[in-house]
Amino acid sequence: MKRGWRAALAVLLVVFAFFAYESLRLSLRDALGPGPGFFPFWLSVAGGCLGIFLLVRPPPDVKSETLQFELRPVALVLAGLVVATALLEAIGFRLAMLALLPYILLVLGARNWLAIGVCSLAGSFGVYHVFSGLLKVPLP
Amino acid sequence: MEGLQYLASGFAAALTPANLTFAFVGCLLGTLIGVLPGLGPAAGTAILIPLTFTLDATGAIIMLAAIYYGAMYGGTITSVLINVPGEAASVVTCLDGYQMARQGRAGTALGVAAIGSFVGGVFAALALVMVAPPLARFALSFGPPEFFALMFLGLCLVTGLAGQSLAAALLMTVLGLLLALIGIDPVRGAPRFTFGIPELYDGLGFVPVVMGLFGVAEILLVVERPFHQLVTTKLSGLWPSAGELKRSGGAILRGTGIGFVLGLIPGVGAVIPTFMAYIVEKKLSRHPEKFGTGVIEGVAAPETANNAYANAAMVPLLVLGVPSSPTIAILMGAFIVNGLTPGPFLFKERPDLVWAVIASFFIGNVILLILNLPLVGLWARLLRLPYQYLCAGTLLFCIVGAYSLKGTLFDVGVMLVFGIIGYLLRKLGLPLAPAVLALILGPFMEKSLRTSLEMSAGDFGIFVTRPISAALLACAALILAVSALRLTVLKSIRGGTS
Repeated sequence: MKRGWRAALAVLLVVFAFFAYESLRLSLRDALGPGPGFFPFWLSVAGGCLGIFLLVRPPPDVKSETLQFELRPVALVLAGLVVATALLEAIGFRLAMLALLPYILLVLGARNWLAIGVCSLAGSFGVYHVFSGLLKVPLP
Repeated sequence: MEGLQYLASGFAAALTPANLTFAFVGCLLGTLIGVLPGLGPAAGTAILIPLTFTLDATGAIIMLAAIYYGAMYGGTITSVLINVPGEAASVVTCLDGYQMARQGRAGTALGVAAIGSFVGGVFAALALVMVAPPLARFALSFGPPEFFALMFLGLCLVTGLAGQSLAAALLMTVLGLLLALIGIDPVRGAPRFTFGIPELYDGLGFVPVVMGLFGVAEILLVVERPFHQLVTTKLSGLWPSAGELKRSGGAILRGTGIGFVLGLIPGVGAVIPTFMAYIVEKKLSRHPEKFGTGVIEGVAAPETANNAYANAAMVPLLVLGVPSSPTIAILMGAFIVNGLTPGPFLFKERPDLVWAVIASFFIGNVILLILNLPLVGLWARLLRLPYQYLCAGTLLFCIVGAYSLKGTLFDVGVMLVFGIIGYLLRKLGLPLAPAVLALILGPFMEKSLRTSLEMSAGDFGIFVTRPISAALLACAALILAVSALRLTVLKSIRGGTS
């Protein structure tokens, strides 16, 4: 876990450095008092100090535990979500979900075709009807 | 007594057919969310926010509050039937609840949990009615320095009690605060950290962010380690016997007190009251050795404390505008989405809404009692739902919720990005609660800080020369010091035993 922890802290330190840099570009003080950069600048400094402290002295469970990932199912689910999101406005909610739901169910190991079909239809056309038609919540 | 007068008008508003329906649907959906393993109250409340978009503010908050305490109860059912807590607060219920189920007394365990939850919830709501008006009046005298100190204290409480590392919790708080500052500067109107993206001028949407951090991240974790469970327990005899009720009575009363008092303190979370109620019962019992083998007090006390906590946790939110847990922060987000800012001014400006919501707590508790006793069998059947369908349904609701907030794909993208961030943070053991609370309190904290400093011409002494803000800041410092000390002692004990 130590390597993952260090990588995460390194990313956070970059984020804090970015916020600090951008805050300095905004004014820290102006005629009325503290400027728009004041609060974020000092927060970034505090975040940076905490990040460095945790790099030097990580919590005990970081030293003892190992970080384990099951990347394949996570990556497949995320890929499906990204594609469905990209297509959402182009092909509409109903078609995007009609494609996404059976994909997710199959990736996760569902094999009952009838249940997959019913779930996909209910989750696409059914949900669209409930939200757009009944609840008046606009969907693409 | 003024609270009771306001409450009467609140009941008049909450008992309209529409609001009763919202409370009923909220309790039903909340229990459903609580029953389904893998979805806690925070994720459940977040993904169901879109259902309330077209409702008026009162109806929306009533429904979301009902979802919240419904989910808190729903977790009990899985704890008793399959030894899997639906949410963290139900962990302790597994100890005796599941043992009761193995002895064929699952119905009794669920029955006493429902009764305890009802009593705890109603008493906590009554205490809320008594406490809220004077506390809100007192808070009306707060200026920007006091509000800053109060929010700082709230964050310190949550940070001090989150996780095994104070530094890691503080890091998450700072990250949450920084993310909250993205958008137009509330005082000067200058865009900050927006990369020129117009969608970021309004800041990161709270709803897509929490849907990502809790909903999507939770599903990614479930996908990694799928669960397959079977309900083998038969349900019969939901109503406890007279002897069992008598033995539960004291546990229910003590659980109510513990849950209510701890619910008033931001950051305590629902786990501590339930464990404390259980420990107190074990200490007071003539047969402490029987705890863990299926004693009814072991279910009654934590379940009562859980629901009393859930209702009492509304006090800091409604009266002071300080959420005490991620789920309550999500409820605060729902207030803000509806153009309302929880806090003492809400009592002054929208008493109709506040008291209707408080009255709905009583109604919700009655609905939960009526709903849960006869429907336990149905909830048990739901546990046979394959996890694949649960995951697909949750992701579907997340997409609908994120998109429908503003009708833009950008929010769906934000949700996915924060889903990945939440998944990685959870894998690394970094606490999400401080980040979520900081995310919602950030803009208010910054505004209070800067207004205070403008009042004092840049002099930070304003925070220590005003007695209330000085006292609140001293409490915050004390809490951080005690938390650091507690963790150091725990570390040295672990070091000594290993």
